[in-house]
Amino acid sequence: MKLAATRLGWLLIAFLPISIFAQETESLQIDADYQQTLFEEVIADLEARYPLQFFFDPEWGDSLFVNLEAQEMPLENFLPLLMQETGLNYYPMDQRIILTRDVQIMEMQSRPYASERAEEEEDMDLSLFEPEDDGPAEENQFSLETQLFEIGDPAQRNRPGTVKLYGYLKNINNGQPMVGASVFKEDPVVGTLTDDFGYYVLTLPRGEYEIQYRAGGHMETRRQVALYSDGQLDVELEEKVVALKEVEITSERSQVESTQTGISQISIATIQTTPTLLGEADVMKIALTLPGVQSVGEGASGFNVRGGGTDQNLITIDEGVIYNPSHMFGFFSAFNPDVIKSADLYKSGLQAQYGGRVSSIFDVAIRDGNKKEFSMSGGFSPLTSRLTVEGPIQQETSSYILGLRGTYSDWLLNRIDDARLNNSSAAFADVISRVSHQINDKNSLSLSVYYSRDRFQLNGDTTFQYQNANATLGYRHLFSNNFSSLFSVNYSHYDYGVSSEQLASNSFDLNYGIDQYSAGSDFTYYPSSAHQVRFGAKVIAYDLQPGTFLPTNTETVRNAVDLGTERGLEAALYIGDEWNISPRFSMYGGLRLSGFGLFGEGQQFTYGEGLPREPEFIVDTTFYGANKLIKPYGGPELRLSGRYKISRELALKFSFDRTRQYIHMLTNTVAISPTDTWRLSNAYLPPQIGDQLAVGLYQDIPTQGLEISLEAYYKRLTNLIEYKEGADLLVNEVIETDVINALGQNYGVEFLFSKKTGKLTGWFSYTWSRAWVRSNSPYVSEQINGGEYYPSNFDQPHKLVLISNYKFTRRLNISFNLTYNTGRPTTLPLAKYELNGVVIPFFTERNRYRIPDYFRMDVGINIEGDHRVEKFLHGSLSFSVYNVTGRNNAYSVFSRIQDGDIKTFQLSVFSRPIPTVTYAFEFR
Amino acid sequence: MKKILYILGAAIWLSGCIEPYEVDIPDSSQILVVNGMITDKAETYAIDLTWSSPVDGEGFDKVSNATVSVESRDGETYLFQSAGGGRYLSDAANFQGEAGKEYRLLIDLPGANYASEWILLRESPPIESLYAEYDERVNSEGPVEGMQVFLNTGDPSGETRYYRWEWVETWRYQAQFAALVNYLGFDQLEEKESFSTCYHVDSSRVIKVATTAQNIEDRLNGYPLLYIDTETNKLASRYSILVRQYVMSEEEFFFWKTIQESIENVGSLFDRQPQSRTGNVHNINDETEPVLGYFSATSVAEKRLYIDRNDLPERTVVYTKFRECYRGLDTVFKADYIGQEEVDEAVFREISYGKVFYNIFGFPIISGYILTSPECSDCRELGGTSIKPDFWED
Repeated sequence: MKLAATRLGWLLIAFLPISIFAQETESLQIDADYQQTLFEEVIADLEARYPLQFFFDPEWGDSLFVNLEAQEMPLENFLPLLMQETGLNYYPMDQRIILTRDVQIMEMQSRPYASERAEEEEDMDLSLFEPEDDGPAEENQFSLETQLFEIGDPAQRNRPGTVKLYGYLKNINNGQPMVGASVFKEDPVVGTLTDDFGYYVLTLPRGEYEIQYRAGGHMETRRQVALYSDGQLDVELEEKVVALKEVEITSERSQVESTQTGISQISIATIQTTPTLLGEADVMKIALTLPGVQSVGEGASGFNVRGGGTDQNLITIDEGVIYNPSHMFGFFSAFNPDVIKSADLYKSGLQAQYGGRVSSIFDVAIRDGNKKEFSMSGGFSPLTSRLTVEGPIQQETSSYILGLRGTYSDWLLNRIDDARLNNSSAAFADVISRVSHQINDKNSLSLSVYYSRDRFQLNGDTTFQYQNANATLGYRHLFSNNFSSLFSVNYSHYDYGVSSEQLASNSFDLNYGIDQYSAGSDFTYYPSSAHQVRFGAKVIAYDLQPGTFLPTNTETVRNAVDLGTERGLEAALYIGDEWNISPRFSMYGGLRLSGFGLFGEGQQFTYGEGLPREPEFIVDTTFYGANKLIKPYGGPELRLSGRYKISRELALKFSFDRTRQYIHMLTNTVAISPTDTWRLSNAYLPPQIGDQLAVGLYQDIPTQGLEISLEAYYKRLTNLIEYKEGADLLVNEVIETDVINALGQNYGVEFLFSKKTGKLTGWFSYTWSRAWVRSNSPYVSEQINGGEYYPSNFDQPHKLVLISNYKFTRRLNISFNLTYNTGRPTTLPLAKYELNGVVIPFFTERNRYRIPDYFRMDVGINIEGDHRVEKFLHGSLSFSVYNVTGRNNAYSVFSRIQDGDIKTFQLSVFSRPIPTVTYAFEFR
Repeated sequence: MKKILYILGAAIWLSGCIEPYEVDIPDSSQILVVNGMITDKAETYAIDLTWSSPVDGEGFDKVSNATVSVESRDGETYLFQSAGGGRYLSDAANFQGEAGKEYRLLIDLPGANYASEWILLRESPPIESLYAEYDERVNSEGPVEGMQVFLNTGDPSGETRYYRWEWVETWRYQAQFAALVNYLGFDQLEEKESFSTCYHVDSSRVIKVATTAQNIEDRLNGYPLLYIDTETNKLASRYSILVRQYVMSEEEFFFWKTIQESIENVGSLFDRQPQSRTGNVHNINDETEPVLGYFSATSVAEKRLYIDRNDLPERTVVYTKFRECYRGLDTVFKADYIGQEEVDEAVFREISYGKVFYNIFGFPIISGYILTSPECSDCRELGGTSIKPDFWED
């Protein structure tokens, strides 16, 4: 007999009376002769021939083969031999035998027959019952689950009112906090989620409860508690599988429970099993498979959320802002997958603590190092290699993690059959590190550091480089069990430089940089079980160097240009309350007051009244001294969301949010180009404002591990930035004369179906969306397409993604992905004409045509080398083929002159299948 | 900066490709295209009027029924005469532009009147020097050799700032095996005039503008004007380039710059939003009607440069096609020596490729011929003329 899921096995254990190792089975003599027999078949054979019943998860056994001979062997001798073959644990109850993996069932110490059984164990070869290591991981979850924990002072047991149960949820193996795990009791459900530090607070009336703890990728556990007064209960969760990474997909927080709309969480396990380009697991490429997330083309940097620009996403790693989130122009993301804990993408329903960008927040968290033991992992692929080391600094309380990654693409470039490329070099590297220290139960500290650098030299001439760097110091303090706080300071930096020395007369050094300093405090207060109040403040000081152009040779004829610095201060105060009005209905209401000031030194041009902004219409220039306020902006941002549970597994949610963005990336290209400049709001670049309304239906089918969601949104954007024809945005002193104020409206419907458990996992998403933009100016010279709405560069009405992974055995899984989307709009010439013998295209309406639709199929095979738990080196090999069908997906369609005539072409980045082999290892 | 990005884009194609794309673009109404210039030189000025054409259209319709005149700010009007094919010419004896004066172009078409904005005829500083240097480069096919032509110019007063150039290239080249006899088939020979030296003339078909607006001084030193590689026969013997330098307003500069960018540097990963600019000619009654092209008025500075084959290193191979002339050679003896059949057979092989010329060998007693292709035996086959231009200095 087989049971479909482990959970049922657990239930049986919980409800069946635990009896002693029964005498009847002793008489059972087993005859067996198995040669390379599948474990499942062995069990079926045993069940058929003997009055035995085995309980186990068939998934464990599908790659196990048994070689075993026995003649009239007593069952109690036979079973350990069988288990030795399979690496499973067993627990016999009469003639029922429960098989477990990673966890073993032991009877509770309090039982009187414990010693008797211990003796029996010694008689048998019971090495399997030996602890696997000496850490606290040995603590028996089973006994913890049945033991009654008395919380607080028993003397207060009869007082009326509610009390608070709080504590930390951690991974039992490495002590890492479990973020977003659910902690709840049933009948009726009262629950909460752990915060970024694995901390939870649950408010309940005094009494006895069974509290359940559930986190993605981990065995769920429960605790029997008797609550007398406020008290702490820390819980450690075991990983579901020790040696094999699980497939876990989006939104680990139960989507039905939270009030949040438009959130997706990507766990590292997802990233690691999805086949990607060039063998590099990539969190941003995964984000692109989610509904509502788009890219303008293969290898384009950045991403577009719900029709927004790439600069409308706040991309952070432990609060550090990443201004250029890619390496090698988008072929790799800036995040080394080995050191990432998770990535959260907020598309709508932003809570008040978030702000600063109008499209989305993409929040990447670095994981804590292993607090219990040293470990090392890494991987090799054709283009990159990476290495991660981690371990405790002080057992249990502090740890470090350091991830390094680099490329050897120079080697590859030299192999391409193009002399210009042979002569070029391209390199990138990144370093991600985090040190965390738990001072005591109430205080903890962390330091996160990120650094990345890219450098290119093309054809032995122009050198181009950029770097992101940031550091965040976080301090967490618990004032009391229901009032926690987090203080952080951050420094983020981005710069790029271009230099050329090919021509003496044109040798230059061009530099751009942003320095950003921020300090924030965030408080979470749980006044009662119904409320969770979060409030705080954040201040960001910007110091931009919008551009310097320096001649580097005495013969250089061009002037040095220095645009000086731009200084700005952004501040926000926020408060929000998540209110569980009833078990069915909960609401979130928040308010964020944000403000921005542009400060001197600086100058501001005044343009003639009633005239378009052109350099010739400048009528006055105002100079501002250092630290003088040039232009203030600000206003309230309302954040509202609500959830109504139609049934336990079906919820209806809505949200409304407004966000303001005070820093803008000016780009004339469709994709992020390496020379795009970020500028602060000034008198002519007012803050972008986004208002979004979203409603959605969310259905969970937990028994089948399914999650289904349907979400619709409408967004209105003001003060978008569009560009005049031929705008030159680099080292431009009068940038306002090249930009056009625009309005946008985006709307769409997103559907996501995901399956998180079983042999087949993955998700399917479909998005229908539109994105429109309209120039907002009374002057003809500042109007695009006659001032009417036209499709924005990011308008891709249909998008369909299928991501799937099928686990054949524990050691072998295959992945299969499909992606389809409508081609993005493009501008093509409407006519041609001739001047001086040169044929010239004439473009009229912007974005009137579309590039061809995008379609891609990828397959991948992952082979785990070995998964014996004790082995200290785990290796895995993956083969993947990107773009199996070799379709020439268009990156762009453009017209150019060829043989004296205009020809339209399409540019494809990958026009054939790209196979990759990656080897990854983990070393403990 | 565009250029850098373009190369960057190229660097990451890896396995990418560019291929033709079929797109159905509806025909739009025709747009008037004006192209013309007056200078301060005593020469005939030409104004070309054409209509725009659909993207997949063949050629351009000419506007031949217009009345074209140029008006000066002081009230004088000069009528241009239609020379057919949409071209309108001034009479050099009657009209010559003067620096410092303002002019505008007037075009009358049935049903529509057009006028350009007033445009100042600016003084051009001289081209101080024009010189060429041997330079090796790398393009997508591999290394190439050639001559880079540089230009020095500048205006000490700092008032010019915006420059545009056009040029006319002329080069002399030789046929490798100038034929004296034309083979007509079956041992029938015809004496022919030998064309061994030709001159090829070609006008620039690029738009080349530069500005010193961001420079301290209004000067361009070593400005790279054009690169002549050895893939063509331009440098095979002697080459000459006549550069004409024009000056203009900032507005006109951006007009040409926009066009230059719209035809160059497309097809990279970082393409800018494509763009079009209308020029300085407008419909008097309907400002919204787009009119393409530009009416310019400028003084002209000219300079000529010669480049000899000897200016390149001796090892450099110019125009590898000349080498192929040696490869295709075939020796055919006269029928007297080897018999008619064999001659015909040998000739037949080549004759299927087109005209065949014989080159005599065994002089003074002709014993046979060398068979070679038309391109190798008559220089005119490569597009040149055997008439030496008047200006040419050997």
